[in-house]
Amino acid sequence: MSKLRRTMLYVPGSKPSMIKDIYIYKPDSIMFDLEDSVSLKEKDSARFLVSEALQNVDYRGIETVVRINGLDTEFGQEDLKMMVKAQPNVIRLPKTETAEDVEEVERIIVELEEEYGIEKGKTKMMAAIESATGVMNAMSIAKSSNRLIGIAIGAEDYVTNIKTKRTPEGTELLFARCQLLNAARSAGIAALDTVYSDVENMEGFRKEVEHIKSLGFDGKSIINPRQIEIVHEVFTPTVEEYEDALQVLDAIKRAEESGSGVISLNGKMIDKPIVERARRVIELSKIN
Amino acid sequence: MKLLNRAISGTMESSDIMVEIIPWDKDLEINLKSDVKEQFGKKIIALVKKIIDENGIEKACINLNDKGALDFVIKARVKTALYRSSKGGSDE
Repeated sequence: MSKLRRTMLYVPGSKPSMIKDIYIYKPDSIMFDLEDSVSLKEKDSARFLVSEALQNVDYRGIETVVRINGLDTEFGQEDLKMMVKAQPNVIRLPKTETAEDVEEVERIIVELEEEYGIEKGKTKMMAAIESATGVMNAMSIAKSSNRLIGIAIGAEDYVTNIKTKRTPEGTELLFARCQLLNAARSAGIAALDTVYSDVENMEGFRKEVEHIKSLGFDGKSIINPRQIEIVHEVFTPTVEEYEDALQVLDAIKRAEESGSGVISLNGKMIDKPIVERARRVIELSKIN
Repeated sequence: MKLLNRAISGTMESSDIMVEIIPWDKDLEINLKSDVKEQFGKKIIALVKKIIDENGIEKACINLNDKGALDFVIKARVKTALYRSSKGGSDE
């Protein structure tokens, strides 16, 4: 099955105490941040710290992602230079507005891979979409590079840009989430939801995770290890879902053995999408 | 690499190390303050000296205030201080 990305845990690139043992919380991905969580004065030191961590710490097979500063800042180029050399699994672009934004970063990555003798195409990318323009261009962004493993929505900047604010219901984000999700699915890459900033409100957090799971998202960026358990729990199929899925696969097997063209289970027709969903449920259940 | 001025990197937070580099005309001097100096002092100084040597620096005073930093943090902080000193910025 495709790589699980239920939880992408942020860690500020300037904090050694957090960087050194973040893997113990077992998120699906760790995202080292060089952008908004790092002060202007410490951009250089965060770069060195994340670079050394990536080359020296054993993150136990957990996917490593680095969020760089945009190329429109004075830090973006240097971030790319050091990070391509340090080789996280994925480089995350902030504030992506057009396919050209992705292509520009990719051009530099191609040059750096060649310079460092890194296998061409090894450095993967993901793009965060955080504005109305980015949301409207989600499809072309999602299809802009073979290196893209996913797109993510960054809600705080986006809601400010569309002149509103976040609400518990998330109505203001519904269009952007659906647009991103469909763009990602059309491109065959992952769709990741935004952070939930109120780490004390676990009930509100759970509701949001249930909401984005029902929309079809693969997972969520998170800012606190305490949020991991809830996301993984919500994304784990229930016993009932697991048993239903087993029944579907059993019915398929029996139909194939008997050479029957039409498959039904408890009076309902079983077709290809139902079988696909059942397989996904079984895979997710095994992981958990 | 040529050191241009005094530079500092790191913090006094747990798991970190504060590194101060002062260019001078005398031979290399490395001073270490650490709660674990007795157990790990030699290892920390050897690691710092290795990075300094790799950058071709022979004359400087390096002051280290260790708060339990792992090797990768020590490397990062020394490299940052060298970078800042060679750029001529961060004279705090």
